[in-house]
Amino acid sequence: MPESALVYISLAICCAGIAYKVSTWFRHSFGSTKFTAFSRVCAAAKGMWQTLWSRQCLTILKAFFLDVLFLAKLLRVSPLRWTAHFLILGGFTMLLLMHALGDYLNPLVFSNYYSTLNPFLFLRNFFAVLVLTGLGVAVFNRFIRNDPARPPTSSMDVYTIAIFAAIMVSGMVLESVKITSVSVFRDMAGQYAADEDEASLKSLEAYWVENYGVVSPRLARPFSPEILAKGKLVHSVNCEQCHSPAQWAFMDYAFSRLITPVAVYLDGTAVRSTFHYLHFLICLFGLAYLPFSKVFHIFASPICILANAVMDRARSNPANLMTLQILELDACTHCGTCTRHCSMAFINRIIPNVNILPSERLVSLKLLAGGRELSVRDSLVIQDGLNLCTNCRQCTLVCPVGINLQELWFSVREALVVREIPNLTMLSPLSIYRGMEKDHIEITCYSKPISQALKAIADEFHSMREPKTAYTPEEEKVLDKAGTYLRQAACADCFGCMICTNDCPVVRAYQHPGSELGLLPHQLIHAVKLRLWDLVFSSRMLWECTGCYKCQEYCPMNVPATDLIFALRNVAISRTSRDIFKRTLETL
Amino acid sequence: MSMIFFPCCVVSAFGDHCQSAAKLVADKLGVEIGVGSEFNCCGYPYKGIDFKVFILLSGRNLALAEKHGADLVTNCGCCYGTTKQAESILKHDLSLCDYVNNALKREGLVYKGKSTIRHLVEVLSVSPGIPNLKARLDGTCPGLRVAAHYGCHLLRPSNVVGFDNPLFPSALELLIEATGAVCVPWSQKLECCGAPLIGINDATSMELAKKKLGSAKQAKADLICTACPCCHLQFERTRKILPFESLSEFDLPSLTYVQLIGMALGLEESTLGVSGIQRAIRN
Repeated sequence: MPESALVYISLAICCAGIAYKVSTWFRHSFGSTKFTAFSRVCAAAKGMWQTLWSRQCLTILKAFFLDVLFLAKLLRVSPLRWTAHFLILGGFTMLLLMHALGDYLNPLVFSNYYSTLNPFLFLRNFFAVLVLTGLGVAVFNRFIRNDPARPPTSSMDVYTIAIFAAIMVSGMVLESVKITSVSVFRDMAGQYAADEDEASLKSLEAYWVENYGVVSPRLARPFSPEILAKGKLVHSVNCEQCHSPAQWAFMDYAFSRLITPVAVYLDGTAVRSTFHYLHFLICLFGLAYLPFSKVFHIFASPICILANAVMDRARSNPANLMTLQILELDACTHCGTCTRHCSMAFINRIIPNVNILPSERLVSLKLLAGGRELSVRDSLVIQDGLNLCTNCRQCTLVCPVGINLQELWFSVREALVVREIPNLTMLSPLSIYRGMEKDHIEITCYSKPISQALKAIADEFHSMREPKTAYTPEEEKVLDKAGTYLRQAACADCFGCMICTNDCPVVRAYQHPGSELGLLPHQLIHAVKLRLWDLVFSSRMLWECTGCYKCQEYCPMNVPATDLIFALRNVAISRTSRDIFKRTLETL
Repeated sequence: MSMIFFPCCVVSAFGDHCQSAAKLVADKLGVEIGVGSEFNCCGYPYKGIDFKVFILLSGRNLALAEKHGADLVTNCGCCYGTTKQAESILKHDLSLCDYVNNALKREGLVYKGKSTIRHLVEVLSVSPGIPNLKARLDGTCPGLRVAAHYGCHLLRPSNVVGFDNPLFPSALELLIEATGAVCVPWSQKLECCGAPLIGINDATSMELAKKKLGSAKQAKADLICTACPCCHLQFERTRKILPFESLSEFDLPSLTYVQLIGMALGLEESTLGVSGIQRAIRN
């Protein structure tokens, strides 16, 4: 009875957990309060109802068979992982149906069900071997194979593998101990061969010791043929109908051979019941933990795949898109495929911010979406990582569960803009993506990050009237390195012919460039010569240069004007963001 | 040396049809270009943020190409110019080259300077070559007036990219004229399209694009043909947001040269990503 109580308790925790998780899909957001949870539930119901009666239903069906059941997307990115996933999923599902729920389900299908009979005896082992093989591949993939492109393994990944492995191994040990156990044998003999006399039971025991791996303290090989013949007779009368040979449980049987030398000792101790409860409790723990572990993806990922098959920003209700994005955080299995194909992942080696890696950034986003008050530092770190993204869409194309990562980054970037932490990478062509998506950005927020970044840089260098404090030796190096032909001295060659300014397309795009751009290109070079850093770094020209290289190309003195501008931007951004980070840490 | 296609991030996100068109055209012309998936960003957006990031990214791409014993082929002008610049820097600065190789060690990659990046314009000009192309395409676009646009990074800084004469380039015109089209002279040919300022200063960005569109229109061109898909995206974007009253002055369709050649080759227009208005030019 307490066993079934435990089952119901863990089932209740599991269901409550799932209900809680599903509720977060409608309650959480990246800081937007535009929709209430209720309106999001209504929108989702309406959307699903409409889809059900539209032609999109066919698209959903196709996605269901191809991407949900067959996992076609995973097969495309990694046949090895596809195999491992199928081995684990297939094996475990069959064990769940045939073994864990076997007492309830099997009699519905088979007329003569005994867990000790074939095919059940054999199939249990067969499926367990499938799961263990799959787990072996997963362990090899994650821990043994030396793969520099693989993202870090999180504790969640380890727990998942560990729980599955513990269930399988505890089951295997339990069964092996039972195979060798003479007390189990005697219990069963007492139950099924109760009518036999002591001598017959002894010969039966001898027969089982000889043939089925039971280890008996009182009987030892070799047995005489007569005893075995008698044992066989008793066996055929009492046991054979309901018990297939133990060898059919090939994995357990093989393992039981290993423990034969200590089998008698194990039978005497509480090992059997320990493993029995261990196996049982780990299964229940796994069940209760499921909604909070990454295995929850078995619910979230199919929904994510199906929803993304029919939803996009152009057509779908914004409330539903918001819900979908929170769901996508749960659908992620942390498989790392996105990071493997990320255009920027490599850079994580020199900039140690894990939020550069899409798979890790997604983990951070769970914090952001959870509505928990993120510290400025956390926001800054997420933003820093996120804003190095080139938006090349590779992650979205390869995600095996079809998460629209690109959209997710877009929403989060805008959600972080509201927090008003200056983001200096916005002053680079990385902003092109944002500019192209202007129509989907709140008009009041659109120009905010640019003005914030410009202001942060102007503030940073405002006080720098004293020229000698301008560069640290490190920054001097950056300036020298930015283009090997960029020599400080090259600026000295400038004699102010103004060809750079006259040829600059940006200067020509303004009516009053002198006042609107701060410094014109030739003045910028001159200011660098004079080390007037506050003038240089607060001039708009520095940030409006398109990098077309006309000035550099046409300069009669070979002043590398465009490369100089890139180098100056390097210094401005590195120094300002360093100080922003320092200030943020101080405010903690 | 064999060749691998190098995809551009911005184009992958907004104009993937330009890249698939490039592959289709190369296939049709019998130019063999392999596909690699492990490349990273060329480093272009990071030139102004962190110089080392830019060099590392480009260095890794070149090292990957070297591992395959191939040259990179790109359709994008910015990727081309940026990688070329990184290549030239790495050739001159051995300590920086060591730094890059050190970072690449973990992946078993090394950059020795054997591979380079080539632009598809240059690739097509060499093989099949202009005369062959002409023989194959001549007369397919008779009377079409085209304003050829190179894109800054294909030409400048010329001491780094060494692609063509930076003042009087002709590679793109020769390709376009192989289809029987006429290239018109226009004053803004070598100017910047403004794409790098999208999202930073949209007004200036649009002003630059408008200047180019207006100049091409004044030269009575039927369309602007760009060598770089980013510039094409910028022109198309600008046209979409033009105010109604300036349509007559600035509204001019654009195509990338691969789309133009693809159309001349008789490839399906939908596979080239050629939209309605652009199709109208053809008729």
